[in-house]
Amino acid sequence: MIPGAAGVGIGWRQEIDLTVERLRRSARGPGVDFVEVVAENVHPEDVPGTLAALHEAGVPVIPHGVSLSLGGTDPLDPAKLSRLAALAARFASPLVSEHVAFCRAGGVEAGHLLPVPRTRAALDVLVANVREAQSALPVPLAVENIATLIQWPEDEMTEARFLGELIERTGVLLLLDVANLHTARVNFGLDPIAALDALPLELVGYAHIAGGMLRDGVWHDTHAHPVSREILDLLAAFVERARTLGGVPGVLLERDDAYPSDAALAGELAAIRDVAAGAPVPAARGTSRAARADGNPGTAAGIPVRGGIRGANHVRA
Amino acid sequence: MSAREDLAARQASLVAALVAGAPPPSGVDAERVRIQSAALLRKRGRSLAHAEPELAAALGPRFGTAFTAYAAGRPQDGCSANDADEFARFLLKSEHARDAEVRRVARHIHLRRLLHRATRAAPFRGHAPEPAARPLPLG
Repeated sequence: MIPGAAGVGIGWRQEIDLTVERLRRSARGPGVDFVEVVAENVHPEDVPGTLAALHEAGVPVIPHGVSLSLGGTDPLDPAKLSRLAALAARFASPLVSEHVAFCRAGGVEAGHLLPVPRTRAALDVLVANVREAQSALPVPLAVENIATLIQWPEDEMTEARFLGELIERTGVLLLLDVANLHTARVNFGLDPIAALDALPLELVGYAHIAGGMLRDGVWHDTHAHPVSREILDLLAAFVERARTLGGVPGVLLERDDAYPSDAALAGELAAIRDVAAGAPVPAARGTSRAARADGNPGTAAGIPVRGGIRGANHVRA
Repeated sequence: MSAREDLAARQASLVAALVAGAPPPSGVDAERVRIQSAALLRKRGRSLAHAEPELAAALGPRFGTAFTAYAAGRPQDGCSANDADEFARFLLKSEHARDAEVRRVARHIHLRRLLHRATRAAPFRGHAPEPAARPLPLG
């Protein structure tokens, strides 16, 4: 069975730790089935109490690295790798995730996830780094497609082909960010549906979704704005395809700044849960409850828990 | 140059363009690099303001221009606490130091950093060694 997460999750952040707990416990709320923590922000030996409590309550916790620089030509930092491994051990995590990106070069930190040129040489570097990370981690690794404003003139292949080859050569899993497919659509005119159709969706450990904003004519994946309809539509397109592959993996909302009210976050999670369950995308944010009241058949169905058929078909060596 | 060395040079060139004011790598859209660079500066400034709300409040509407003057062309060196200390030291040497509240908060941040470096028993695992502190006159 593919390691991953099921249901609906949210990025655990210190600033919303009590919100996450309230959303999880609320009888009428959307529920929280799993969380992700930014590895750089949580020390494995000094875990915040609210996060430790989530883990003790049985909520899966996925360590998510943001600065390993798997696509970089500098050697991987052993301290960053061992921290990811220690967090995975601390939380008995089902997997660990990182990005197909580089974030430093020539000893200088970019402070951001940057795209690697999609060339054979860059793929070889990624493959070597991913293999090194896999051997240092006690659990499987998933890598995420990033959001970018910049692309390289030397790109030789599509992102889907590039990711597909990386996955094929390393056995790494995919953390599919549907919002980043939207970013590529706005910033480079790339077709997100063609990308979904070309990616190995049966190897998605879990998915990310987040809001962003248009500024200077380009899409910024801010994680500080509500998830817009066009991004929920992409989630729906992914869900439709994942269902035919045996189950919809977990979908996690990333929110890193400008935190809204608990009610607004609950509304976003409820909308994500509905779409992940196969319901039509609500016409406007905040209408998911109305859709449920209408007796829409799709909303009543729970999210299919992965395993079974899908697991049997995709046992990895 | 091997393919790997070439890749390393291209990556270094993009990072330098984004955080150190270097020209964009050849063939990469200069306008996109400018937009990304500005977004990174805003992100770094937000992160610092979030970590040091008292300093952000003391500077008020001047925060953006003061931070840009400090950070443009100066890559972040070390963690955000180190960035805050460097910014505080920059402010103490700038015209903003004439503002008593900015001066008080900036000194506090710098002192706290000195104390942190002097008192911690062992380096925080996962961080690169930090540069030696060069204390500013605090009188």
